[in-house]
Amino acid sequence: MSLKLKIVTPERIVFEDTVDSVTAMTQMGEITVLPGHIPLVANLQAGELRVRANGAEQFLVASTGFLEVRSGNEVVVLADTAERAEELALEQIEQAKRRARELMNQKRAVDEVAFADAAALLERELARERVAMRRKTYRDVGKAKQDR
Amino acid sequence: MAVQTRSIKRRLKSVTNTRKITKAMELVAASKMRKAVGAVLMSRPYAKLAWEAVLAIGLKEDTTLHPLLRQSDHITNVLMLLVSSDRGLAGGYNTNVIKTALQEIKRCGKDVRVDSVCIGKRGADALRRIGGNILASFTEITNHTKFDEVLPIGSMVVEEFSKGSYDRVVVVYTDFVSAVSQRPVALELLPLGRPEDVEGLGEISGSVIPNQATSSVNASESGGSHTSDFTFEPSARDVLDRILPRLVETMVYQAVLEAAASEHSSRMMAMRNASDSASDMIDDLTFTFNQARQAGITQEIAEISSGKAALEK
Repeated sequence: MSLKLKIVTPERIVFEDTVDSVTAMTQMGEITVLPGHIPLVANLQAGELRVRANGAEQFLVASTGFLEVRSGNEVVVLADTAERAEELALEQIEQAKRRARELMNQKRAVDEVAFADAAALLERELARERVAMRRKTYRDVGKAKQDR
Repeated sequence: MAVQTRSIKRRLKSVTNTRKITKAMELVAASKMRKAVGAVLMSRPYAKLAWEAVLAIGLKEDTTLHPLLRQSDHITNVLMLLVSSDRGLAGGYNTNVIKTALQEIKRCGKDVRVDSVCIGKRGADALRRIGGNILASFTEITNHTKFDEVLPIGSMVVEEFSKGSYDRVVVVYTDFVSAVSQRPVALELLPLGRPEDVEGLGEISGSVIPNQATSSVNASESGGSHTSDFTFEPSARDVLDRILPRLVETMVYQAVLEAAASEHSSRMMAMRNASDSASDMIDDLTFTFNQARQAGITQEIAEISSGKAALEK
């Protein structure tokens, strides 16, 4: 048994494949969906998405959105933005993070809604950074093994 | 005679230059169109899947109470979102979409107040001319549209509607059917049709997603059989509160993308026609030029030979 996973954003389809399990960050905490899960709709939080297929794990990062598990082992992730770990560039994230933080400081006392938006933005960038960092360390470990 | 050939030659040169320009614009529009069409196709699955999720919730919970689904009996304030282009030279593209917008305003009746939000300069200019009330105008957004850029427009619409400032929100844009055919439409954005109403879905995704209209109706029918026992986290209400505004924002985004694809394909067609006409004109002018040149030569020969004949006498 396997899951049919689809990760879509308004701009594109990021991922579409059959996988063994999906781990995502929802508002209620981290959940892992395995084949045979009951139908579920959950709100997603900015965070890491781990996809396991044939023993190998893939990392993606998604911002807020929804996770829908349908009967028939179908999982649909509707995210505002989503990237594969390979697509992340640390320097860019660093910049975006700085910008978000600045924006947050500017709006702190001025505009509550804009402050919340900036905070959400920062959260997203932090999630992206986490995934990118992890991916980097994995890559480095792999390289070290090869060197040995 | 020489005067005539010179003027024809000048004309010929100017038409040739025009053809060069229209040809270049055609190629630019074609490449932009390809990109825009790609973006439209990429964004369609999201809208479709989001609708299916809303349908699933609709089966579980009484959704009629949600502010975004509130149907108003008495309509006094209407918000119109008009998507047009920033630049002209796109054939009938802007004229058609503006005409549809004006019809929509007329259809609302005299005692209904219609406010507009314009995306694209042309639409804003046209509405200003007729003295329409423009709340906001966005330009430079129809090229390489990112979801983040359109998001504020969608959120503004959702916010205004939830506050009760407007009873109805209509989006007027040009639906991209194919490279040669675009259809201006006025689509009712809010209130959203009842999600459990299959007809409402077919209607909305039918105009937003023309090619997938039938498939999404089928999906919603088959969806009905297995969606009744969904679990929601944190609760159906919370999920609905988040997914409905997002759906509206996606629809606005979709409309902008459709409009961008239509604009570029319409401009491409217009420029192709212009290039073709220029080619015809060049052929015509070359022919006339050659005739005039030949006539000049013949006349000169006649003058020389008659001069010679006069001398020999």
